[in-house]
Amino acid sequence: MNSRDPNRNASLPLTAEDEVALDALLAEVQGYAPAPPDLMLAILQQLALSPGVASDGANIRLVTRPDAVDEYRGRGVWLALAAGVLAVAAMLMAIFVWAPIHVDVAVIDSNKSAKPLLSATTEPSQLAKSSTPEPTIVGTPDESMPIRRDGMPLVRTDAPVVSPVTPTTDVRARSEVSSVTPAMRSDVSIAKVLTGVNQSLIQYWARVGIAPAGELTDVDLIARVERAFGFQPVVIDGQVPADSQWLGESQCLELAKRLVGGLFAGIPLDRESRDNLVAQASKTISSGEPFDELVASWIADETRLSSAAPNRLAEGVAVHLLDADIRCARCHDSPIDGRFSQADYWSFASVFAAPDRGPLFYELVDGRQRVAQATIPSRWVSTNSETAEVASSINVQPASRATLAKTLPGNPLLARAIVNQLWQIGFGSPLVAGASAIVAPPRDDALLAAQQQLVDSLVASRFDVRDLAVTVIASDAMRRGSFELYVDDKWRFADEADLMRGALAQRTFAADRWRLPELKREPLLAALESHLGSAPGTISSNGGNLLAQPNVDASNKFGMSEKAVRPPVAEVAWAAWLSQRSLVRDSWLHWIDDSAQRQMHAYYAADLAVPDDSDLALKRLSSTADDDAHDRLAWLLLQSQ
Amino acid sequence: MKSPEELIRTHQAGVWRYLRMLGCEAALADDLTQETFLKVLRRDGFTQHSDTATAAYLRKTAHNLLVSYHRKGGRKRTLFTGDPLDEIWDRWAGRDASGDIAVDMLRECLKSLTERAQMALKMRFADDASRASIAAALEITEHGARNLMQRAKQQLKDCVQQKMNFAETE
Repeated sequence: MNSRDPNRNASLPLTAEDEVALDALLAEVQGYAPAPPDLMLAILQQLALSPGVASDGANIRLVTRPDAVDEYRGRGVWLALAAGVLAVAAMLMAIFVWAPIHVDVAVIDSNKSAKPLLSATTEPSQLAKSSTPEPTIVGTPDESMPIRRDGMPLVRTDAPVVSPVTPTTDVRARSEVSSVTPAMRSDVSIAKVLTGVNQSLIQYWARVGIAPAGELTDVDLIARVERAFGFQPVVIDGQVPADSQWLGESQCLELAKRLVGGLFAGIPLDRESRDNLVAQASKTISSGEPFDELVASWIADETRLSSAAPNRLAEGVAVHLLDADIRCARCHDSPIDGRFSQADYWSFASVFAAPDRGPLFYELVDGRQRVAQATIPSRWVSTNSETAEVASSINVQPASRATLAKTLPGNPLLARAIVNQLWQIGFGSPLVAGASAIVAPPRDDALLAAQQQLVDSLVASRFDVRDLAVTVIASDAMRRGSFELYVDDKWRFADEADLMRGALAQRTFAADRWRLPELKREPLLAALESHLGSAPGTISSNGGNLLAQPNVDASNKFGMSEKAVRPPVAEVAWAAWLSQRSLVRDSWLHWIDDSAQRQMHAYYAADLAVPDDSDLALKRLSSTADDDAHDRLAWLLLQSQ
Repeated sequence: MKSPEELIRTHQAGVWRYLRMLGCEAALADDLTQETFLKVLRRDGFTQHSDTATAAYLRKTAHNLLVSYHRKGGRKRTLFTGDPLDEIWDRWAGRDASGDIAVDMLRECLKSLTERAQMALKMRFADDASRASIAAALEITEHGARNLMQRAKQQLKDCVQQKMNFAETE
């Protein structure tokens, strides 16, 4: 720009490039487009989570002064020696300190069938002291921090905000952690990961402006965990110990049932095969063996997992095991995630076709037919498509299930899927949902950071699912109760601001989910039929309808009580809820012009089959010409599952 | 030598605006700006010489990430390639690393346009109005509205260029 040009002052014509540049600046100047955002925090946070790896394998320091790097490398020998001494000390600690604790836990575990273990009935103080670092309150309470119901600020710990776990998401890093014994891993990682995850959750709640619900009593916490996981946890002084040793075989069996159910949701399995998978998973979990290798063996076993509809099987594997929501791509390229094309979808499906089956055909949007070639898209099985190891392992034509299975051990995408499944078991919703999820927590960097910490720790622990389950169960989110707002119908008299906060808290893991009574879709749609025609049940943009209000008791709504049907404050809350478009992640639906298609996609996104009586819903909804109608129906259907 | 915090603070607005000038949506510019800094700061042996050199290096990285993004997504987008990229940046925002001066200059230059031209651009960019709406509001044909805006943009370009040259010779 400093070069001198004699013709510089001459008026040059406006080129296409100039026009794009000028348009961008003009949009900013005119206030149509946003000004540059401050991305400092987001960048530094990601940088701290994963600082990068230097050519010599060491983590790159944040300040890259050449002299600092030299100094750092010069100290390498001494650091290595110090690390060696510490490692020996840690092993000795594990032998002499952990062994007695194991005995204590075993005694506790053998008595677990009598009743839940509360702080009032047990005195395993050694366990509490050894496994859970005492949090310390630093400084004075910060007004910007969420406040508990009892008026106390949430406890801050003196641990760093970002994950203290060294990221080891690279598949090749597995060999580096394999020498760590399970006992050492539990001692080191769970408490630290828990601290990091809790900090991220607190950050998340603060950012989305949520005051989390107060903490549960020990009895309520045990009941909540049992409701979600099917077993009662050990609770000491209001905390679940950050130690997976209390998970006995019966607990691991319950965990395996739910995990297998989630990971193989939508995949047709006979009872015998499912029981077999559960038994294997239970054994793997309770022994602390790598769960990823078990999953890989399941995928490779063509006798166990098979289907007459290979695309259904492929879809289930991609969605639930690779955290790749490819459902859009069955009919068309995904407009939401550029990784998922229709051709890739059917190529992947072809991998799951039986060997004796003929070629797999699929139809393009315009009706032309194509033959699918069995291949595995590298970007579906690797977070980094340039990773030579993954690329070379799947670059086999035609690809097979064995090829796919090879990519799974140590794969961060599988770890992410398992983290999401365990979170879903605990909280009814994945920690970070796919882009096309219609009802999901608002995305946020802090939430992504929490997920990454759990993924990193799972990979580092060689997929020890026990550790991960305990981290989820012991998390700050699990200790949160319901708002008083929802007790004894108090919500009817609450103002809209409280209703909004309560609704958001439930969707963001800051409060226990307020559960609707179990109602099937048919009665709900029948009720829809009876209520839609008359005020105040008409679906309209002014918030007149309450059928999809997430926190309104369905039994009240359909109990034919006029008072219950129309609590005015809740109407306002629902209208305000819908006005927060950024919090309802279904904006992609609005790009679908055809209303019938939009309606069907709402069902797909809510993970529901389009019902036989969808005509009724379509008829009712189309008469309103309201873009929000499908959101409400999706909510309604989701709540009725 | 700047710390990562200083580096980000100095250059983030410039990288973001540069990506916007290459046709990125705001959300994509957010993502790629973050990726750019992460890539550079994670790079072994990254050294900083001067703000100008660092800014050029960051822009090059951002551009490569954008190309990679389009390639991965299988998108076929017309993307400016090669050296002219920096020429565009220099022409429009090259006075400082952030591009703030250019934005201020453009704001000043807007005032020098006729009222009708200002109104047309305001409707186009602030109100996202269609060309037909602009034409109707100004009581001219669509073709006339297009010509009016093109002339206004040419005028803005000349004005910004003149101001930049003037500032450079001071």
